[in-house]
Amino acid sequence: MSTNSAVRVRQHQPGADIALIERALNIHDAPSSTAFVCIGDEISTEGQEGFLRGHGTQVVDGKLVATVCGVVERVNKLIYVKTLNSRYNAEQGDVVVGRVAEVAGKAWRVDLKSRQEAKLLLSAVHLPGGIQRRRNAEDELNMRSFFREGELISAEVQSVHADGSVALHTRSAKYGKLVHGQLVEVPPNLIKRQKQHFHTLEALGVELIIGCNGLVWVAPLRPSRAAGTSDSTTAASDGAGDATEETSAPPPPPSRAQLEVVCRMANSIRVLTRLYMPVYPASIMSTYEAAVDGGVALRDMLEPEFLEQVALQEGQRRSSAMQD
Amino acid sequence: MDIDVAGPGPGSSRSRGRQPAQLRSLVCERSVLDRADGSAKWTQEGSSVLAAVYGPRQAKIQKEDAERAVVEVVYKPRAGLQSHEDRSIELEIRGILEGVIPLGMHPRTSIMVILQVLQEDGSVLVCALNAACAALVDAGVPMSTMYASVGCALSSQEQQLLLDPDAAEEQAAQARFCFTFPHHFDLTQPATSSEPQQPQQQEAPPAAVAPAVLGSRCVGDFSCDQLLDAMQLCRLGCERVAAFARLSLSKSLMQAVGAAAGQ
Repeated sequence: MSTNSAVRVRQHQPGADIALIERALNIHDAPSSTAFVCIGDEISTEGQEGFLRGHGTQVVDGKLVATVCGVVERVNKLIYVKTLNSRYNAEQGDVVVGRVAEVAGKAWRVDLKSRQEAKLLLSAVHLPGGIQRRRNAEDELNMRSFFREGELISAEVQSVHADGSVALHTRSAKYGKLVHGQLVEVPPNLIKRQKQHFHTLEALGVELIIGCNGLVWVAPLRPSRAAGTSDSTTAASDGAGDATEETSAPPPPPSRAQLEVVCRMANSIRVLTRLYMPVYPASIMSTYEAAVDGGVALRDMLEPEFLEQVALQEGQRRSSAMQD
Repeated sequence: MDIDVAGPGPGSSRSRGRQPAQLRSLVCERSVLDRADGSAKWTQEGSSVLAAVYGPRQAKIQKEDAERAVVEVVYKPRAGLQSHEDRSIELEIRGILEGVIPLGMHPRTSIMVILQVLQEDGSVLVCALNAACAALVDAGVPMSTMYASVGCALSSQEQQLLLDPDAAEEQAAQARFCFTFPHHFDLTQPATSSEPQQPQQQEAPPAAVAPAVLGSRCVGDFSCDQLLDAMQLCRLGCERVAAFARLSLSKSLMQAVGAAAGQ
């Protein structure tokens, strides 16, 4: 039995994280070339014939004016203001992780930690059996057999309407209910849109879903998933077959070793969040390996010493990347 | 989180030489709360208000509006339950925020602003308004303009206008005024600030306060001329508050973007 108390109390020092990042990465204040704007400031559109107005801007008297404080970004013809912390803005094709908030008349309302709840229509999920047929009243009554309130699901954004409401779909075997794992909330600004958001790390026995809305799911690898690594190419009938398999035989509860690995991965993601570093598989793996190589205990991963070590490592990586 | 200070030293009262048209020292701390989308704590020496902003997020079905965002304000006094005056303050603040936030951009959402009075020493509504503005900026809620708020009191004995009154002055006053003005940076004018500037910061353009009033709350016995004088005096005071808010904001932005540099 360990003599250490299970609960550790640490004093909250506001601003300590920023001080740590500044020390480790050796930067003080932003480079003078960054163009800040405040609310009400005019954004220059000179030298550009036409422009697309993006987030954080509005047109007042023919001039482009910022509505939030942040940095001006220009991508081709799109001009927008990037704030440091903002809620998730859905784009078509994003993979997201959300929690079912409500089951209401032919649709589930899913909380994506965004400005509005998203809708998952009954017609946008796979029916068991894989047959394409019209949804009838019986399907509507059995909606809770698919997803109940409070369950986590992974889905893809089908469309975003003009008023900001989002429609989701789970029309693929890889989307669906998420069980037996850990959810980590990350600011959505730290997650970049990439080709793959589902990662199976077979060496560790962990599956990772990086939702574009900032919710990251870490779970032990299920044997059925480990076998089917090419699930992106399976046909719809195979996908439906997998669904019936899983509902009939619930996955076995994970072992302690698997849970520790999952916990360590989740803590690595939390470390990256504290240091405001982008979250993607390579950065998560390098933090994980730093923890394992350094023999850092699971509970010590969020202590300032390990945070400093990771920040210093990142500083070295950046300086060597700049020298190349 | 960062703390920015401006104005005369602490403990400044009229008896110790604070001029009638001089503000007390201002302190603004941003990103004080972890779970809120944005937060700020605004202190004017003896008065301190903590503001938290949640939103824009999904509104409750009973409260949601299909075409615009809904602004909800909760104003909690330092001690005790909310009284009718606190409710009327909530209405006033909500009116100002609805004028400043483009509500049509986020339909079916709600923006909740929660204000908690931590210390009371006069000009509490002014503190609350300034804290709400700083918290909204911290949360990244789009606004068409920033605003600054200043209060003044008409003393009953000398019939003199005192800017930024403390609790004793407010009690002894014949009338109390609180004005809110929108402000923006005037990039066309060169920097001509009379306040001392820190050497390493670039020259900040002066903040231009618009002549139009965003909101006003006047209580007491006063004449028309006194009201207009109070408005002019508060406008001057707002210029200083706006300049301080701008400096504090740009400093916190530079710091935070520097820490996230190289992403």
